[in-house]
Amino acid sequence: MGAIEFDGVGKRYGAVHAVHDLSVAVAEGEFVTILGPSGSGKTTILSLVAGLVPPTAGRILIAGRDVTNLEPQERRIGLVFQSYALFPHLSVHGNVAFPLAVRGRPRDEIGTKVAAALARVRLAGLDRRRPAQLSGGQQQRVALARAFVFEPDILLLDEPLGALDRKLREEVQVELKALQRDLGITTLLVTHDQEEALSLSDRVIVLDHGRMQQVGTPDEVYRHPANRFVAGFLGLANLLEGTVEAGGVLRLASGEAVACDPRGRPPGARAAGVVRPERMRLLPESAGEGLAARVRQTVYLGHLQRWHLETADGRELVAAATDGVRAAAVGEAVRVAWSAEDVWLLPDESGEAAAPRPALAAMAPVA
Amino acid sequence: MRPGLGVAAVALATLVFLVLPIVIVVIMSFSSAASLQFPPPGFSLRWYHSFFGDPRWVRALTTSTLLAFASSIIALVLGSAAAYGIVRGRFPGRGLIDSNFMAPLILPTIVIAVALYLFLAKVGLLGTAAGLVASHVVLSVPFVVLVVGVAIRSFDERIEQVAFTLGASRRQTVLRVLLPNILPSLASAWILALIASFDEVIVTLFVAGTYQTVPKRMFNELVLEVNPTITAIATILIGLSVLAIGAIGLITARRGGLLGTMLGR
Repeated sequence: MGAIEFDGVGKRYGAVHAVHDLSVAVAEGEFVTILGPSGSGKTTILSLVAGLVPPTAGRILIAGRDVTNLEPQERRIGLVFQSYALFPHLSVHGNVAFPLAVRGRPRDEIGTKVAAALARVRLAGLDRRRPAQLSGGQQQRVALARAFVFEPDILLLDEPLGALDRKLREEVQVELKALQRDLGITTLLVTHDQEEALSLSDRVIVLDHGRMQQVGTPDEVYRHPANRFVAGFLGLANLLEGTVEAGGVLRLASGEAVACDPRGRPPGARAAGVVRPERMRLLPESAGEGLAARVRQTVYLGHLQRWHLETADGRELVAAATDGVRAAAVGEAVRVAWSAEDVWLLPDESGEAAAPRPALAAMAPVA
Repeated sequence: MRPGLGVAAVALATLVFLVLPIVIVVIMSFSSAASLQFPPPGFSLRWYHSFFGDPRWVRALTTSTLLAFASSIIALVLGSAAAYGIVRGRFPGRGLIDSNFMAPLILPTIVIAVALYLFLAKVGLLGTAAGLVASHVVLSVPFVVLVVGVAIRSFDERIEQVAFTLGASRRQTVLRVLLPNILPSLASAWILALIASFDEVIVTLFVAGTYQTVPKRMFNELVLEVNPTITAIATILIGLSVLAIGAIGLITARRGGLLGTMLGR
């Protein structure tokens, strides 16, 4: 069992930086997710750890051992691809036995370990089947059993739930988390699904354009995003831009004052605050607090109801609440309010349009 | 839109044009006449007796068979290894090497024959068994590189990568993972290489020296006299080809035929 350490790791393809100067450590037994959009370099990071591609800069350590120049065979890692990559010509038993067989382990040891691994993923009794005769969820569990049966130091999962339908995915998430905890194995998972990242991980690494944007616990990255990209990628975010004033006030361009914690910003500084939709309260027009807005669109999600609002000066806001809390029809005039502690001032940015991504990406686009 | 009557007529005419000569040869091989005449006055197996009763023909058949097996097996091993390197390798100039292996398919055979003649003469292998086998390997290796290359390319590389991470060496991965999964393509490639060698006449005429293969003897016989024994041999060759094509069809049936396999289904 061991930790993973990235020390200034970079991977360049010609002029393109797939991964740029990554330095982060994964603790022993920790479940860490690399979260990013497609093309952000997250799968490249996994390939670098697995030894499938060599880095162009930096070192990678697994369990304190520098593996940068080691072949995949020598790294003691269990890898699960999104496509599962099962051996089509081998039975379930043959697939799970493979890592033990190539190590020349005795037959009875292989039998015992394979049986235990298959029981662990609830596939006992299916060991004679071929991968083509299994459902997607079963194939995924075979791939998982094959990846941990030989007791590797770390587990690498490349969008392992991506090919499953939603209901199954939620079940497997719970199982995967339990399995990881039981085995106590350091796990690095790659996904573009923010819900998956938040629900499974001890910590999340948010990646964009090959650069680490933030690393933190799920609630840290969700509630206290480091920048606009993180705020926008981990769900809908309302972005409020303005100037910090004395007494914990953010003065918006439209003139309204928003209560906030300035976190040491001097008065006069430009700042951008993030408020999550579920922190926004929808009030009747007659309420004495909050911003005046008009309902532009409502989105019903079953467990959640969402309102897309437009303020008098044309700014778009999103509010959300548990179903049945309050109803507001399209076109209705309302007021929207929130508490000072629900405003998170982005630490990295002045509030100017400095972000590489357009602010709209974080401004809760109508999906 | 349904094809018109004209199109159907052209298609039928083409088919007849392709098949008719073969049908005539087969019928004539069972002729009882002492010379080539069609339709035959009666039927007999005399030309088959003439073929198998002539030790020179039997010797030629033995040579052809040994040559075909030796060269096709060598071509299968070397061609498959080359295909693996070309498809999975990460070195510069792979395209060039790929084209080089394909060259014998594209270049006029007579050019290859002359080139092999000059080269084998230079290295002292002209007219030897080794030189003949090597020449046939050159001619049949493109089929192997083509068919096996497509099979490797259509096999998900991630499955091999997973095998590496699970501790398998490259050799173990090729033997335990890749080869079992491309077995049908290996079989097809081998049969194609076998036929390529068995049919070959031009290069053989140049480099075989005193060795007689069946096609070479047929060619030489035709120059001297028109002997109906030729039709019996031709029928045997046709039969073998049909068997081979049938075998490939059976092997690759699950994958949409040889063409489907070659096009990566």
